[in-house]
Amino acid sequence: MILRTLSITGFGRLRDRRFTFAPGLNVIFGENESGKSTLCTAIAATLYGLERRKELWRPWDGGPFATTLAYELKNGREIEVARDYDAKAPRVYDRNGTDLAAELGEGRSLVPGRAHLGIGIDAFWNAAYVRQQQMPIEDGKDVSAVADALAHALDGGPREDAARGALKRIDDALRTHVGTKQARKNAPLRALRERLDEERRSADAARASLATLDELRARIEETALERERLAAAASEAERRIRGRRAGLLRARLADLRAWREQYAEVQAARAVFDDVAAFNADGESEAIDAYHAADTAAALAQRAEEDAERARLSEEETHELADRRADAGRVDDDAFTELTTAAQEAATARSRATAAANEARSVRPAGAAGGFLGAMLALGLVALCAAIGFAIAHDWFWTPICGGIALVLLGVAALQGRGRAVRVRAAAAQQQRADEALAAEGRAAAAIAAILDPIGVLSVEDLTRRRERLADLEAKYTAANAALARAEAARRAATLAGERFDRIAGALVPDVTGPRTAARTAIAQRAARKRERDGIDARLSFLEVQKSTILGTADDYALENELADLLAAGVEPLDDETISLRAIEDERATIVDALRGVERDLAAMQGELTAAERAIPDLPELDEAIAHSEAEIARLEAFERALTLAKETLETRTEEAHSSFARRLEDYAAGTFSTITAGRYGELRVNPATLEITVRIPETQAIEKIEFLSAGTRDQAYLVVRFAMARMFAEGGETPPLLLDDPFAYWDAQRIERCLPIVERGALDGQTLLFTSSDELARAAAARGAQRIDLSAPVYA
Amino acid sequence: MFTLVHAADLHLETTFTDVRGGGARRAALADAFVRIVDLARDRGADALTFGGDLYEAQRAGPQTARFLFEHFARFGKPIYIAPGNHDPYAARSLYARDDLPANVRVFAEPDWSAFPLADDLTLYGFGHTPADPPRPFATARFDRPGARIALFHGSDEQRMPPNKRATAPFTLDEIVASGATLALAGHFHGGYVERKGTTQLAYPGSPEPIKFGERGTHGALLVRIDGPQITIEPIELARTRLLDLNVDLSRAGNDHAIGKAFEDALGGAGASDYVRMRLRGALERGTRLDRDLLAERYGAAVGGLEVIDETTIADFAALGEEPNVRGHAIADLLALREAGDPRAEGALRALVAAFDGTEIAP
Repeated sequence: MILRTLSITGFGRLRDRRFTFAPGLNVIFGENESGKSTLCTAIAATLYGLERRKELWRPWDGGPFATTLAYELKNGREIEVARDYDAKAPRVYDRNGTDLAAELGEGRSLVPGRAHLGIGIDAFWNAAYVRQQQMPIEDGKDVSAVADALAHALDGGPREDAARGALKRIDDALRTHVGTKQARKNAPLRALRERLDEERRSADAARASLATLDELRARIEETALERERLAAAASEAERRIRGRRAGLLRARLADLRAWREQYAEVQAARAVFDDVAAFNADGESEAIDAYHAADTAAALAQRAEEDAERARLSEEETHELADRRADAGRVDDDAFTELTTAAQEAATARSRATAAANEARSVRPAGAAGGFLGAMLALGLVALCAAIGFAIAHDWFWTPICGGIALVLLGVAALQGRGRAVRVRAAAAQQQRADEALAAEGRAAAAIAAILDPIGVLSVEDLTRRRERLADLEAKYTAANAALARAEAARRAATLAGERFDRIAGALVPDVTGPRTAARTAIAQRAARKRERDGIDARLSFLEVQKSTILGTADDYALENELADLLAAGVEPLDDETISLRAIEDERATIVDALRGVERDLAAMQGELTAAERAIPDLPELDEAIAHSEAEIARLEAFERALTLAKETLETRTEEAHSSFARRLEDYAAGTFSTITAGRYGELRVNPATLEITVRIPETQAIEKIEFLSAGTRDQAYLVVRFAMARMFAEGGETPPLLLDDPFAYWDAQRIERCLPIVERGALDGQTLLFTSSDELARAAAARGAQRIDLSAPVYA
Repeated sequence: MFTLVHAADLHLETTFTDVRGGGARRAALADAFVRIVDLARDRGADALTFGGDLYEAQRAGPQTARFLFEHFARFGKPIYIAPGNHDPYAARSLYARDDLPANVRVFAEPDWSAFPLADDLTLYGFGHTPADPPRPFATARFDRPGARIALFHGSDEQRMPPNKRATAPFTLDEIVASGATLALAGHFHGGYVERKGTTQLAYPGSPEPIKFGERGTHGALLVRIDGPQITIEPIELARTRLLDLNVDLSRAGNDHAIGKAFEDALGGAGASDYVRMRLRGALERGTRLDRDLLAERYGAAVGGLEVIDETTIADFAALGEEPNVRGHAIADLLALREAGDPRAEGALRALVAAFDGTEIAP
């Protein structure tokens, strides 16, 4: 696209101005605030319209607001765009005046810039417009501004942070609305999922509660049925109880009638024994005992008399007793003991003496043994001499033989000699003992004689016989006296016993006289009748107890009334005696207990049901919350997926575009930069990721960042980059005019010298409008063939 | 003459997930049930019939039973219920409870049971159980003298809504072949009456709208049977509305204009209306659209409000032609959208918003 003319009817500070442009480099000179940027905007606005910022550029004087731009396309077609900014759409004509609206679009869709350049307004600004002070990196200033501008141009969009900023905003949006896996606090999606889990758990718990309620209701129904069954059973038990009770009452009343009859009979029988009513039957046993005691005592007395008679001593015995007292009676026991002891000692001594003498005799015949001893001794000596002789003769055969024989014989003689000596000593000892024993016997005999002689007893044996006889007679005498005493005692006891019986009998049967047997018989008879009467009384007492048993605590009228009431109530008496009332009552009690238990259980379950029903949460509310949470999660997940896709797509395209630009820049710079720097710098690179520009230093071949280069080289490099970008955007389509709106802070001679050639060269590829407030630059450019346009003419005609 | 009121598809304890305000809508359903009973009493109906889905069994609780039983008893006269697929007869359903009022008769089996209402009027009932029921009219033959009314819950195959599964399906021809004089049905929430010869098929519709897009009446049917003559009068009972509205925001260049357009689109919608508002049109670049703020600001005036953002924020096609990163990325996403990738639309909006620096929100 080559701009030809721009007519400004009214646009910002510019009014009624017409500008004519040359195909290559155009330098538009104007002081600051003279309208250079306004002119740039007017060009873009004619091509694209103003949209939201229209009022910013409305002419200050309030007059018509319109511009007209004429340009030529690469294919030679000439186009004129007349735009009235207060109208809906521009008018676009070709050279022939043909309205191109139908071809290009209608109304708001008629955008000549997009139609002919193939890029939108944002791309146009990014690609075709270099604004004031955008290009140079002054020493010390932030180098990232260039990379930002480059990114802005390559990436597109209205913001300067372009794709990088877009990626960051996408990441921020993900972090804010979705959260990251690492985030602990702000993780909305995770929080939503956790909330959903919680809501699901609540809903499940609510459903479980409802299911529990159903089960509880079923249990209540079963329990209610059980209650009815038990209530019916209790009623049936009650019916049987009343029936059995009626039966029992009827039986009791019958028993009562029978009882009355029996009681009357017994009372009649009792009256026969009224004569012994006052008789003390308890005294019978005492009387009988007394009778027996008296009878027994009399018999005992009789026997005792007889015994006493038998036990009396005869006359002869009496005399013998006196004699024995006179002799044996004069030796007391101690003396007799001495006597017997002495006799024993004498006997002992005699025995001892005899034994000792015998012993001594037994040892003596050992004299024969002395002869043997002598023979042995002699033979032994002979043998010894022989041995000595053989030894002297050196007859060593017979020497040891004789020696051995001598040894044996002498050994035997030695033994015999010892034995004999022992026997001799023993015999002597025995003899001594015998002598001693004899002496002891003599002493004992003397002691005995001392006692026996005074009483005229000859021997101890005789004395012993007499003493024994004396003992017998004494014993008999004593026994006779005892028997006599017993007989006397028995007579007294019999008398007392008889008197006792008489007393007792007199109390019991005072009207009976005569022998004791008669009284005894009368007592027995009367006691028997009295016992019989007591038996009847006991029977009557038993009958009274029986009555109490029949009546219990009630009286017969109460029983009759009760039976009448039961019968009147329609109770069918149960007379089956095998059925126990107690058993039925126990059965009823068991049923009632069970019924109460069931009722308690039922009440508890109903209470539980009521409480559980109150606690049931609102399940539809919970399910709705779950649905909303699920929808929200789905929305966030879709959002996450969409943003992830956007991010991936953007990253891919960014890397691709930046890499592509890097390659193109290298290609473009290889020619342009090298030429402009007279071959000094041939290699210009841009990092696709950071868009950082680097240059290969020829001296060192090192790749250095551009900010480390001289200011001049930097300026040149930036211009080359800018032109390379414009070429890239123009590939395949119309090349937009490049609008350099005072891109450097100031243009001094050095800068003019180094940059102007680049601008010229760039303008060879596409029309370039260089806006500057540097008159020096304008003159230099014009001197090199650029079209000069002055904005210094008055703004308003 | 015998008069009955027929209703169906009350769906007590249902959930409403399409728009918020479910609690109020459930309360409205309960109120509608009370109005049905009031209608039956006021019109002196001899009986009340329900064609199923009176409540949703999976969420019914003790208060559901108390509420229904109270009003069953209040009506006092015979009530006949044919359970539906949402309230099938089962051991633990409300219909099986022993405290069900004595005037209620439930058709508990998926087979026709005859019940004489009068000498010349017989009611045949078919009830759902948890298992899928067979075609109710496939082999049905009603031959008692006089008028024969079939009470059931099923799908009219000739009027099936799209993407809806049929339950107990039937055709009007099958009803005719069965000998039924009148089929009182339930299941479709939009009520209608259809006639073929002397046979009529009537759906009362749900007493209140349940889902968006339901067509037909919402209420009950007043049925008068006078010998062979049967007249059906639909009675509208619904007091809530479900409104699907659209608002074009193409001319709204700022959030104030958006609010104004939104408010105008809501029109006279009030507290009984539940609105699904679709935002459409191409917003001007940089215009702030806060869906949640709109819902918050205007939702209080209606029963429930769901805002669906279907606006476009840019001419994606035009942007996709730019020879820069943004253009190429948009072109890629447009291709994906064309291929049916569901992520593409959201990715396009996010990408453009990211480059514009405007808010990126779900």
